[in-house]
Amino acid sequence: MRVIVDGISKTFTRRPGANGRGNAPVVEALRDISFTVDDREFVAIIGPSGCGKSTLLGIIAGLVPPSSGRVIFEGGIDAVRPLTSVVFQEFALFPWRTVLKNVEFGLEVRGVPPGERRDIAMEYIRLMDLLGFEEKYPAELSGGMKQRVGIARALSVNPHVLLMDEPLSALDAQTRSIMQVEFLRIWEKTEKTVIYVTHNIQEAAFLADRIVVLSRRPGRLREIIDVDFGRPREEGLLSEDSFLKFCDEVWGLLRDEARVAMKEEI
Amino acid sequence: MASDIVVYDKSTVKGGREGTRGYLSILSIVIVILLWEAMCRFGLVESLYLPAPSAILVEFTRMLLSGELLMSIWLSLKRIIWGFLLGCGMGILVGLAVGLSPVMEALIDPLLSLTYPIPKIALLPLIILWLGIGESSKVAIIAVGAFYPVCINTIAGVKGADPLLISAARSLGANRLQVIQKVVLMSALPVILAGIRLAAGMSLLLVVSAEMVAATAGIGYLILYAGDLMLTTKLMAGILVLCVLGLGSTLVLQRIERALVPWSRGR
Repeated sequence: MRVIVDGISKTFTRRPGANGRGNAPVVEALRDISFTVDDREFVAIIGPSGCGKSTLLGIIAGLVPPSSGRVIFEGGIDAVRPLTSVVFQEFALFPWRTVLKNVEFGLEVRGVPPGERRDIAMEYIRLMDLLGFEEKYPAELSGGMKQRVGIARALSVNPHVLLMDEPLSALDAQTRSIMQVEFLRIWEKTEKTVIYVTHNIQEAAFLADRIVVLSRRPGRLREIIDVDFGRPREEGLLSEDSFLKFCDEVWGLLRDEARVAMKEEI
Repeated sequence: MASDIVVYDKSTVKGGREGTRGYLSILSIVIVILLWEAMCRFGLVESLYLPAPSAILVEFTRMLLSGELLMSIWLSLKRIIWGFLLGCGMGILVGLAVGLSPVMEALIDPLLSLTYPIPKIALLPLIILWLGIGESSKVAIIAVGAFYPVCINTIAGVKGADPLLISAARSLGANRLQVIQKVVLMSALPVILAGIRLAAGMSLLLVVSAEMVAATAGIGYLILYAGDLMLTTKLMAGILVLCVLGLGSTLVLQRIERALVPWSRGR
C-alpha cells in the first residue's frame, strides 16, 4: 500500500472570541505538503513543536478534514481491513475496558464474533508481551504497559498503514529506549507501512527508512532525508559515530526552526 | 548549639499517618454521645428539650416493635423510591438529549437554567393544586427535585467525554452510534452516578418537607406531629430514622456505583 500525500493544507478557523482574546481567528497549520510513502516503508515525520505534524497525521487517518489537497491510498486494498489505525501519544485507552476489551474494541465495532475477536486480541496481547494483564484496567498499568496496549489495539484490526502520533514521548527515557527497540522488532515481523510522528531526532533516525522534516508553523515540507542504516537495526547503532553524526546533521536542519518556534510560543 | 548534620527519618518527618484518622472520627461520635448522655443524666438539660440518647434509642425500639415506625418508613420510602426513579429516569433522558443534540440543547438548556434555581419545595402548593393532596403530588415534587441534579450531571458527563477517546474509537472504525454507546455513555457514567447520589439526598429532603406540609402519615408527618405534642423523644426517634435512611441510601448507591464503575477502583 502506497500513501500519497498530495498538496495538503490545513487552516483552522477559530470561532470569534473563542479564547476571549483578540487573536486572529484563523490559524494556518499546514501549507502545501506533498510526499509519498511506499509500501512497507517506515517514514518518520519530525518538526519543531506546533508545526502541525499531529494534524497531518490526523488528516492521513481520516479524522481531520484537510482544507485543501488530498491523501491517496493505492495498491492492494483489502476492503475488509481498515486503511489506517492510530497509536496516540496519550495512549487514549478506554479506562472502563480491561486490556483485553481495549484490544478487542476495533474488532468489536467491526462486528467480528466474540470468540474470534478474543483469539485475535490474545494474539496481539502475546505479541506485545502483555500476557497475564488481560483483565487489568488501564489505571492499573504503567505508562509503558499502557502504550503496549495502545499498539496492540491499533494492530489488532490489521490496518494497511499504522499511524503513530509521538507514541513514546509520554514515557520516561528508559522505557522509551526499551520500547523503541521492541517496536522495531515487531515492525520487522509485521512489515506494515508506518507513518511515525515524533519530535525526537534519534528516534526518527533509529526507526525510519526516511525522515520528512517539517518547518515551523505553518508546517511546510523542509526536506526528505534517506536513512541509510541497514536492517535489522540493533540497539548498538544508537551509540555509533555514523549514527550520532547523522542525527547532528538532521538537528542542523531543525535547529533554527526550533529556535524561532520556541520564541513564537512565548 | 549549631549542628553539622540534619537527618530526615520517620521520627523527624511527619505526614502520611492515615491509620489514626478513621479512629478519630469514631472517637468524636462516641465522645459527643457520651457528653450528651451525661448532660441529660445530671439534669443539665430538661428531657423535654433534649432527651437522652438512651431514651431515644428505647423509644425508637418501642416504635419499631409496635409497627408504628415501619408503617411511616414504608410510606415515606415508597414516595421516595417512585419519585427518585421517575426523576432520575427523566433526568437521564433529557440530559442525554441535551448533551448529544445541539438542537435540543438550544431548545431545552435555557429552560433548565431558568427553572433550576427555584427551591423545589416552593412548587409544592402548585403541584398540589394540579395533582391533589394525595400520593402523586409527593411523588411529583420528589421527582422534580431528583430530576435537576441527574439531568445537569448527565449533560456535563456527555459533553465531558474525552475527544481523544472519541478519535481513538473513530480511528478503530466505530460509527456515530457506536461512539455514543461505547465511549460517550461510558465516560459519562461516573458523572451521572454522582448526580444520582445528589438526587438521593434531595429526595430525602423533599419527602420530609412535603410530608410536613401536606400528609397524614410518613416520617416527616411523624416528626411534625410529635413536635406539636411536645413528644420530643418520639421526634428525635424520627430524626434517627432519617439519619439511618440517609446513610443506608448512601451505602446502597456506593455498592451500585462500585458494581457499575469497577474501573475506577485502581485510582
